[in-house]
This record gives sequence, structure tokens and C-alpha cells, in this order.
Amino acid sequence: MAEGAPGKPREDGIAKGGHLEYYGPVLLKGERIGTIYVRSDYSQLRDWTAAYAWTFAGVVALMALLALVLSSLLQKPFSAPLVELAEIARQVSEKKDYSLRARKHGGDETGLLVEKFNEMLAQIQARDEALEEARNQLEQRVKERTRDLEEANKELESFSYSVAHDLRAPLRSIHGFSQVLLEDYSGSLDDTGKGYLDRVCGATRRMGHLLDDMLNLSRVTRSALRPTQVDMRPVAAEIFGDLQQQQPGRKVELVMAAPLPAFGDPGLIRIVLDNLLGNAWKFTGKRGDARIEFGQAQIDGDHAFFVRDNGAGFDMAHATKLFSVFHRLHRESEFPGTGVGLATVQRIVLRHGGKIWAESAVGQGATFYFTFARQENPS
Amino acid sequence: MTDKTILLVEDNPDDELLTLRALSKSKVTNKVVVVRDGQEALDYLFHQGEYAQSEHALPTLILLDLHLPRIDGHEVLRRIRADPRTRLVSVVILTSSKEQEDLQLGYDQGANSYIQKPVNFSEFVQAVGHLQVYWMVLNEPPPRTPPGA
Repeated sequence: MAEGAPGKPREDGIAKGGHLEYYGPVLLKGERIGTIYVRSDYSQLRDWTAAYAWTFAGVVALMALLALVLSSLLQKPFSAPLVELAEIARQVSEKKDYSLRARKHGGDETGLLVEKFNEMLAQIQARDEALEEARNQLEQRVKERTRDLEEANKELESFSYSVAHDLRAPLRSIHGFSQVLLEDYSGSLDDTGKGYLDRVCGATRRMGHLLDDMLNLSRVTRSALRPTQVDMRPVAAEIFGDLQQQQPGRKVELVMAAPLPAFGDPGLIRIVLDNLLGNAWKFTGKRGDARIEFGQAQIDGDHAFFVRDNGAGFDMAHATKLFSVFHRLHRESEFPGTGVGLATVQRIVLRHGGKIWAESAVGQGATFYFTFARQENPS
Repeated sequence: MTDKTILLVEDNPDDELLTLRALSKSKVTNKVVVVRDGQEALDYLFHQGEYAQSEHALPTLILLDLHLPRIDGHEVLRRIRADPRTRLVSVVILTSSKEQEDLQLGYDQGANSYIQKPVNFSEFVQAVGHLQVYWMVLNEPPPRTPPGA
């Protein structure tokens, strides 16, 4: 002991403080005869412990480094195929390209996974191709059918057009030569004979109107729609003026809202108004206080226009046939007509995406409502 | 009778007869030459074919039907307008058709007027009378230039 024995004995036991001290009794037959004092400096022990700790830390660090190096070395063979697989999956899902395949690197579990993945892709590819083909076939078939239908429709239209058109020529001859007979040979014909010729002329005139109306109807379907903003009020006023000019003797009151803006093809809108106002004019022919109203109203949420008259009206039981071609609700002798006008009007309204309907009662006038779906800037 | 001639291009004999009758009803009387198809019309206008030896002046007015055998009315009109000798002559299309395409093409190719033959003969007579007075009397025809000028 470098420091020698302590001067004063302490209590028995272990004391600490930079070093280890031990005091213990020395007994002889139960009687203390002395004290043993051991003092040990443990700085060496501390140095050892420190040395061990550093060694341990060094080993751990080395191991970690080794693990890092090892794992980075091992990553390539183990994770590279998985990364590649993930990349292929991403590409497949992004490009919808089922012809892509993952590369197989070995026969281990990863290799098996890649193989199964590729098999799955092949199946999807096969289904995708089958689906695509079916879709193409369907599209092709729809295209063909549409073309066939369009062609048939066009043929039908051009047939009806050329029928109507070509019938005009012989009709002109019939009317023309009947007229010539009446003019040049009236001396050789008695009144009955002239009456028959008059009937021939009347019939050809009616047929002429019929053909004109049929041509109009066909034109309405075939012509291109060029919608624009139209104020119908001046158009209606002009038509009304024409009607008044043709029958100056008639007194008809025209009531109109102002203005009457619509979005549609101006030429076709004119045909609509020509027919509706012409009908109103015609069917009020037997009234002294004829009144025609052209206005607009909100009906069931629709912005509708209407032409109302206080004329002959019709039985609502026949309303469904009102817009069929050649269908008439009045006798020719009562009110002449061809039965094509309202069919034409309906076609025009339908082409504009609108609808048309009528309300009436016999003897109480009629109201025709129509809408144009494609109306813009309604006011 | 003026020396102004109307050339009627019409293949339908009934229409020809009725048109001639309508023309004759007018107060104005003109010489009317009838040709019965497009080729004959061109032969007449350009002094070729059966009209090679014929000595006649250019008509003042051509009444042109559209649906004609051999060469149709549109083609006749095109060739009339394409040739310096005939390009200024007044051509009125007189036809059954009111087809948009016919109207468009007719005016595109320089028709002076387009009239649809009415079925009603009285209206037809009236129409023909009007156009005869307008084109043969009221309208000043373009100055005659010698061929090749």
C-alpha cells in the first residue's frame, strides 16, 4: 500500500472513493484483536473496463459496417429483380401495355414470382386483345349498320323527292292542256264538259300543292340546320301581311308579344310560322271576329311559344294524328289542305330538339305550343 | 317581230308546246328556236355539228332546262360561260327543280335568273310573259362583240 495504513480505523465494511477500501475485524475466539484494512485502487479496473467498452463499441461498429457492406453487396442479387418487377408493374398499369414482361434472373423464389407475374400478364394480354377485337368488331358493325341506315334513309328521301319532283312534269302537262282545251275548244264543249275540265284543273292544282308540300317536307329533313338568334315577331308580322294581302276582305285581329326571341334556323322557323299562322288564318275563316294570338309562356318549366286562334278547333280525341303526314281533321270542302303542313312543322321542331303539342275543342279554337330546346339567351 | 331570238332548250315535248304557247300569248313576239338536248344547244350556240353551216346570230335569251339528255343544263351553262363568244348571253334557268344544289350550282355558274315551272298553267303563262317582257324588252343586253375579239 503506497499510502500506508490509515491513522484511524473506521467502521467495518467497504468504503469507496476513487478506490476500494475494506475494514474488517480480526477475531480470535470471539474477541477482536485487530482490524484488517485493505485498500485497493481500482483505476486500473476502470481503465480495463474502458478498454473493454471501446473494444466492444469498435466491434459493434465494425459489425454494422460489415452488415452494411454485406447487405449492399447482397441487395443486388436479392432486391434488384423485385425492383425490376415493381417497375414493370408500374409501366403496365401506366401504359396499359400488357405485352411487357419482367426479366427472370434465376430459378429461386424471386424467379418463380417473376414467372408467375409474366404468366398473369400473358393472360391479361390475351383477354385484352380478345376484348379489343370484340370491341373493334362491334364498332365496325355499328358503323356498317349506321352507314346502311343512312344510305337507306338517303335513298328513301331522294326517292320521295324524285317522285314528288318527277310527278310535277306530267302534272304540268295535264293542267296545261286542260287549260288549252278550255281556252281553244270551249265552243265545242257544253257546260258539263267544261265542268269536268274544271275538275281536272282543280285536282291538278291540289296535287301540285301536295307535291310542293312533300318536297318541302323532304327538304326540311335534308337541309343543314343553321341556328341563330331570331326575333319571330317581324317574321310573323310579314307572314300575316301576306295572308291579309291574299284575302284582303277578311278582318282578322293579330295579337303578338314583343319581342319573341328564339334560337333556331331562320328559314325553318319561317316555315313553322308560315304553317301555324296559315292554319290559324284558315281555320278562323268562318268567323267574323277572327283573332290570332302569337306569344310565349312558361309551361311545365319549358319556355314555349304558342299560336292561338278562335277558329273551328278540333276534337282532342284525334290530337295524336294531328302531326302525321296526309292526316287531316277537316273535310277538304270545309277547309282545304294537304295534311303535310303540321308534319313539316313537327319535323322542324324535333330537329331543333324541341316539342310541339296542341290544345283545342271543337268550335272553340286551337292553341299550338312549341319549344326550341337549343334556345340561348332566353329573355 | 324583233330580230331578237329566244333559244329554248327543252327535251319534254309537252313542256315545249306549253312554253311556246305561253310565249306566243305575250304581247312581245320573238323568234323562238327550240333545241331538245344539251348537245344540240351547244351545237347551235357554237355553230357546230348540224348547225355548222347555219347562219344565225347569238340568241338574246336562253331558256335553259336543267335535266336534259346527253349534256345536262349545268354543263351547258358552264360551257356558255367559259366561251368568250357566249359568256355574256342572258341565261334563265327554267326547270321543275327547286333543289338547293341546282339553285346554288346554277347561280355559281352565272345564271342570270332561276325560275321553277309552276304546275298551274295560268301561273306558268304569267311567269313566261314576265320574263319575256323583262329580258327581251326592258333589259339592255350586253354589247355585241365580234367573235374572237
